[in-house]
Amino acid sequence: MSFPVVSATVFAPLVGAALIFCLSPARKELIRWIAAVTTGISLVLAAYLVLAYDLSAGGVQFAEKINWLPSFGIKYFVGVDGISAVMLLLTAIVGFTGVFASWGIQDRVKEYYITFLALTFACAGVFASFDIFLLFVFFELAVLPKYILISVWGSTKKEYAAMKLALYLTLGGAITLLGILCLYFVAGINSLDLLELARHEFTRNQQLLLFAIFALGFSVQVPIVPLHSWLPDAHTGAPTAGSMILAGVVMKLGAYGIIRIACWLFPQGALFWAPVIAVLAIVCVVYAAFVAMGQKDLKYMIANSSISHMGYSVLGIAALTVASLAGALFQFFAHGIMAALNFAIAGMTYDRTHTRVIAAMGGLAKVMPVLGIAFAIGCLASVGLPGTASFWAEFSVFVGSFPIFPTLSILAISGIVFTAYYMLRALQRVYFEPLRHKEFAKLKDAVWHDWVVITVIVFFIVAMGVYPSLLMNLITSGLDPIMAGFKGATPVAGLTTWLAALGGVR
Amino acid sequence: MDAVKLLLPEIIVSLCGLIILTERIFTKADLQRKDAAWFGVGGLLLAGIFAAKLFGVNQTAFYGSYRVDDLAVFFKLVAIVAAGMTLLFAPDFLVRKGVKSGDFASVVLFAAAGMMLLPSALDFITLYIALELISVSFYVLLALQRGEVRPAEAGLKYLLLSGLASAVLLYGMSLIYGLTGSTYLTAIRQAFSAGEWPVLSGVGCLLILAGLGFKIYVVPFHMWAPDVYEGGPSPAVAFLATGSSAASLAAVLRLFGETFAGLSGVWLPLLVILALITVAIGNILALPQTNIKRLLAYSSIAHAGYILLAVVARSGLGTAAVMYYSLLYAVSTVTAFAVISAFADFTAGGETSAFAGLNRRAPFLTFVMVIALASLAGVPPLAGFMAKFAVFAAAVQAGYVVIAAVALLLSVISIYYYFQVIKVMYVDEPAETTPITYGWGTQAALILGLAGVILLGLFPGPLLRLAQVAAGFTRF
Repeated sequence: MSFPVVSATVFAPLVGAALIFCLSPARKELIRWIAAVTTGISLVLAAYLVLAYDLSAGGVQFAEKINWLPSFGIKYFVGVDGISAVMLLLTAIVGFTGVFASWGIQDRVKEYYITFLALTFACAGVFASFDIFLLFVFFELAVLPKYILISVWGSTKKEYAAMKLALYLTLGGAITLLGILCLYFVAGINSLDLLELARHEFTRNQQLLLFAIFALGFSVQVPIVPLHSWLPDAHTGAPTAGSMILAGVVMKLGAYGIIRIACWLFPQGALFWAPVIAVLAIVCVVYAAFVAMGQKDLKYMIANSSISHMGYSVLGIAALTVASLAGALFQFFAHGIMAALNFAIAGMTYDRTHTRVIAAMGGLAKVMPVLGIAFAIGCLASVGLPGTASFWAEFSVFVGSFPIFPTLSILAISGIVFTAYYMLRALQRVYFEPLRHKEFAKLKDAVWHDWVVITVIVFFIVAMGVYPSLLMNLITSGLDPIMAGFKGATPVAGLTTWLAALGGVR
Repeated sequence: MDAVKLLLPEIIVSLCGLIILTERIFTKADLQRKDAAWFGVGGLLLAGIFAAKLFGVNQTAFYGSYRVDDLAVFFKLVAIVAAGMTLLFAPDFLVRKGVKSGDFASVVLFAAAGMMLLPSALDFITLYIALELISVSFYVLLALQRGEVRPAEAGLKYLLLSGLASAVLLYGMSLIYGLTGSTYLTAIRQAFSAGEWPVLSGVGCLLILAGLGFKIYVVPFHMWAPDVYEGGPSPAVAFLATGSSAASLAAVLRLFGETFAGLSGVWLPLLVILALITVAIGNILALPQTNIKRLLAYSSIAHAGYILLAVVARSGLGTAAVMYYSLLYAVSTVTAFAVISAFADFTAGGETSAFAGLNRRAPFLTFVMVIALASLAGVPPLAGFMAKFAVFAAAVQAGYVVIAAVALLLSVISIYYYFQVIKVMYVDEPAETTPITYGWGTQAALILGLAGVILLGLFPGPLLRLAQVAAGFTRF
């Protein structure tokens, strides 16, 4: 039996957590290094999966399958296709850098790293799963660590934020579970194996209903407006690494679920509901951008910016073309690392200035040039500057969406202008105005563990900006089986047509 | 196989109870010692082995009034697990509270014998005697802390209301007997499947439902639970919450799954509505609770609602889900009560706020509590999640998609109150920092519970398979 690379990638953080569990809380340095090493192993293995994935063969590779709950045909089925490989890499990057971003935490270090590693493990598990039940288990498993992470190590309104997050995500989970049960009995093949279900023919009405249930369940985690209100509070309440993984990975879980389960299994449903999703996507882009513009708190601004950016991905999903879906998935990666960087810098800045109010800072680049440059890179990536990964993501989404939803795509493009406004304004006010407070003059610039975070993420932002085809080819290969279900069909464009179609369904 | 062999597990448990009781009378041994409980655990273990050997036996005894089939054996094992875990952690609590642990152990064993008899009962008389054996034992167990007001009040409340429920149950049984001329479930089932029956048969059926509904906390027969949970000694309440309700569920499955199947037009719609109301009331009323035992009482009510969803499914999967849920719920709940019991001396009446900073005073205890609560909340892949999955799967399979959807959405509420306790233990500052100590019996119960909650969640296959096979024996 060959080495189970995918399981090792997923379980490495959990092994780290188990090792740390056995250690005395006093051994803080050892705890940190165990976390770093195990997430590092995960990163190396994820990179190996990306590089070793055979594009010409396609499909699910490095698969591991064991019967888990035979009465329901449920399996422990993990593996990677082009999409999973990229998402595992994203999780591993954010997990690894999150460990270093948390290096300064002194309070309850042992429990912190156990919780953080458990969360990283759960997120990776979602992306590696090819059994819907297993995917759901990982999906729900992530809620408790998130809750503890925010409620114990968070800041602003942390308990409120943690509970709000837990309730919203569990609500989404409950809807998804209902969808899984309906899917299981409707398909009637005693299996929740994605590959087997993808071969099953669902009737049109089954597809419309099941897609709606799954899309609703997952949209809480994207989050799509109006189910988004948990996110800014959660991001702001969370500790730095918590925000990084929330924005970098957790937000992607829901959208990934929509593509991986809803779009793949129910193409007719996807085509039918696409206009509604597209409209909601634009609401996300524009509304969240406006909210971000009005924020005084740096983390709130980045959080709302994340909702806005996820709107691009959702638009890409709604358009259902190869380019738009590839763009949406590339945006998962690009936004994941970019948001992680922005939150990391916001956290590092807060650790030094003890304020997150944008207006209260100013001129910090003079004393913290490295952090200033890193934040500038993060801001420019947010804006979608060519040379950064985000450029290709947004470009691809717009190219793919425009023929399907021209008006909505133009509206979405306006989001870039808003993003430029609030991100560059924040960059200017926090880092590039004259130094406003004398006490800030003594602040320290990036220390070694900050350097690790910045170097790793900036490397990927720029590398994928310069050489996007590495991931884009993988993603496109992963989309092949999903696109087969659409067979050249296009969504019901325009709301009037959609409403007419709805009448037809009735 | 002769009747003695079929009854061997119950005989062993009852004998152990009698030995503990008489040993105390004749030797005047130190009443505080823990040996009695260990002896009881040993007896339960032996009974468990003999009970497990009965899997696959499908036999009736005592002129058709007693049946050993896989369904009965499964529930016998649930009773043994619940009693065994209770006896592991109870002595620590009882000794601290000055209660005679020998008395407690013997009565727990008698109650366990009742719980093992009940799933096998195939006529009203046997069923009633088994049920009363359980109830009478709990009158004693709940009021065992003599000299303390709250436990005495809890015991009295249980005595009065349980007596009332028994009366209602008996009245229902007498109506059915009057109409069918038999106390045997097989005969009653045949009578009901034969043709039309007067309205009174429906009334009898509903009265029996009310009587059993009391035991499994179905709304509106649930009122006693929060007060009794709050006032009763933690080990007694743990056993009451798990063993008693599981055994009563076995009776519900026998009666409503089979005996009254012909009358389903009367009770099924009502049971569906009661299931939903029970989930709603349990979850909503748990929200404002500030006492951990009251909170668990309301959560037990909500869990009863989930289980009823599987009962109303009336399918093999539904029956299996009830059995599976009963065992996994028992393990999670006893584990939570083991923590509460260990923490009893350090809290003021079990107020949730007294759990503040428990993590700093007893990290392992807190970890166990987090896992137990997460399991009750249905966090995967713990035991509680798998149980919920089976229950909702049964409901959806039976076509109750909307009912399952509403119950699932209502279950989200439970996250609030379970996670709130987790938050208090992890986030809030402790009023004092003295470490919490507990005996190795409690430690053993905690480790067993923790292992059970995690392993039964991670490897649910064999147990669910066993439940599904056992569910095939519902017809008799």
